[in-house]
Amino acid sequence: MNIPMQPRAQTKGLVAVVDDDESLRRTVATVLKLEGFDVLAASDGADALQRIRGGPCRPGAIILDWSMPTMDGAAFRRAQCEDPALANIPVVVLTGDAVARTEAQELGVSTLLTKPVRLQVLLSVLAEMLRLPSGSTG
Amino acid sequence: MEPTIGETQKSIPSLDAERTARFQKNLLELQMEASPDGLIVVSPSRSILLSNRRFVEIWRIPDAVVRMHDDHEAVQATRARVREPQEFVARIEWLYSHPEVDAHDELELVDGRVLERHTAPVRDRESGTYYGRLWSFRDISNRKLLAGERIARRAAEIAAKRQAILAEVGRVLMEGADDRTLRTVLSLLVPYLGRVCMLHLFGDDGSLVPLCWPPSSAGLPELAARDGAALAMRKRSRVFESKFLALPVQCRGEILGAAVFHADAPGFFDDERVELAEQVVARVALARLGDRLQRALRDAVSARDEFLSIASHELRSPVAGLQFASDALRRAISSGRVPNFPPTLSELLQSSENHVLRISTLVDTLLDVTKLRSGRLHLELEELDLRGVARDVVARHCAGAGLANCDVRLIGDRPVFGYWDRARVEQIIDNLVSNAVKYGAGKPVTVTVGVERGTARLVVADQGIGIPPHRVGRIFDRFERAVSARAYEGLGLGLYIVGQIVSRLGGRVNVESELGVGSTFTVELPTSGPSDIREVEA
Repeated sequence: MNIPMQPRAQTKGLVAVVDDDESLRRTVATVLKLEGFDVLAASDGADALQRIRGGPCRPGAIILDWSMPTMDGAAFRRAQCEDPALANIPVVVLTGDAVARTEAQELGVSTLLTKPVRLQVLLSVLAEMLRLPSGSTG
Repeated sequence: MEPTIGETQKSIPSLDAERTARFQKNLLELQMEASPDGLIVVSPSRSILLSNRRFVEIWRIPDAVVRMHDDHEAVQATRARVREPQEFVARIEWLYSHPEVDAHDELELVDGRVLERHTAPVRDRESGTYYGRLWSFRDISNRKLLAGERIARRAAEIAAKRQAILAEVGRVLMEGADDRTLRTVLSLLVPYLGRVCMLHLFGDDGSLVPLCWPPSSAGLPELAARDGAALAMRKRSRVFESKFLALPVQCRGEILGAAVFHADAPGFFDDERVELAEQVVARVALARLGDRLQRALRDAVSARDEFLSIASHELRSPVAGLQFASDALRRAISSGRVPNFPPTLSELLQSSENHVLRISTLVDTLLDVTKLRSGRLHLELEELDLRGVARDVVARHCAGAGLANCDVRLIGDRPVFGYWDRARVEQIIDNLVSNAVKYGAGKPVTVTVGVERGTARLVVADQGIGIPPHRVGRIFDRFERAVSARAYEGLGLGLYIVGQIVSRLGGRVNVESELGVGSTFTVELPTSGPSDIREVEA
């Protein structure tokens, strides 16, 4: 699989938003675009894998919901770890489910945000993951 | 030489007849005096022809009355002694007007004695001429007393036995009304309520489950039991085939099943036994219904908690969307990306942000409650400074209120370290401070932090409206608040959450309050953290 390592130069980077809640997905996508990110939106784990693998470039970070139909956050994370081309993409789990924390930690996810979260917090996490210069999200 | 009676009769008939009559009269008088009964003979014209001493004794009337030989006087004297004087006199008059009648009855006297009364006409055996009426009275008080005592003793024994059975049944049913318990109840009834005792009760799936004691006799009177159960299901209690007693098991108009008792002896089910069976069955019905209601209540509470849990989870996504959207708008305006943004719209945006904050707090609260209810509250323990956390919370409140207006003050000059969950300790302080500000009537609130012998103490005191005495004890219950829900918003869950988290952290919280003076909440937390977690980690 041949996925370019970098997104378009004029944006802050490509972020995948994986959430089955369409309304929230759209809002996050809109907000991130407003903040200068490119966004790849997917409705569950399988959809995300397909879009990332089939897309023109690899996302620099993945915002992942944990409870989803078809392929949930845990299953996606396992598939991601098994795919060397995707394994290194940092993941932030954004969930309303507190029990996801332990499961996510076991699957090597270091950042978990509980819904609802302030935009500033999410942007800081993304900035760190995408190694953006400080002040770029302020 | 005195002539013999035979010679006298033969030689001087008139004199002999006179002597014989005197002899017979003497004999009669002797017999009458020797009688244990009070006797009196009254002529048709109601004069007293004969009476004995015992009559006077029994009736406790003056001799003079009898010596008047007037029966009306005797009736007047005796009527005052009986319980039912009118009936007594009427009966006497009726008997005098019916000379042919023999009668036997009992009289109750006002002094408690009971007399047996017998009366019969006195007639000439040959001619049938009616001479009058003989009355005889016997005091049977002792006999009555003994019989009464025997009956009372027997009744007391039966009552004691019944009470013992009912008490034991009640004790067993305290534990519930499952099959095992009900079999124990049945075992207590054998043999007093029959050789075989059965219950046929509807199970959760609506089918009729038979329970029998002794267990080995199940099926023995099966047909009759089935008939009896069917009979009882029609809400009728009755003895049938003279050896079975069938009772409906019902409570508040609902049929829960039937009870059937079987005995070998016909007539076994007398009133006493039927009544006892009814009382036992009523207790069984109540316990059974109690069990069902308890189960239904648990299910309902569990369903409610489940619903709250799902609802608060489901609400998180739309609230997150709202939060992102309003944050993004605010960032866009602040960064100047939206030039000439009208101040009115900015105010609206601020209002929207406030509402998002409120709804997100409510959702958090609901979720916390569901976690606490289901025991799923996860604690992340770390070493932290209680005073530092309190300082941050107070600072946040002051930032919200505007520093100049801040009426929340922190007291405590040393850090207080302990092993706690930072977010939860923050929540405790935040809830107590918010509460104090909310009900503080605008007067200063103090937060005092200290430590003593391994116990950290946090005291939040206000000078507000206070809590009515009758509500102080319930203030840490769910949905409880000191004043009406209309006056102060919120779910009434803040102090419940405080109480629960403090308890999970191994501490305790209490409140002292006086109406119109204020409330003081004191939280005590072991600095070593909750004991159950310490044990696990040790």
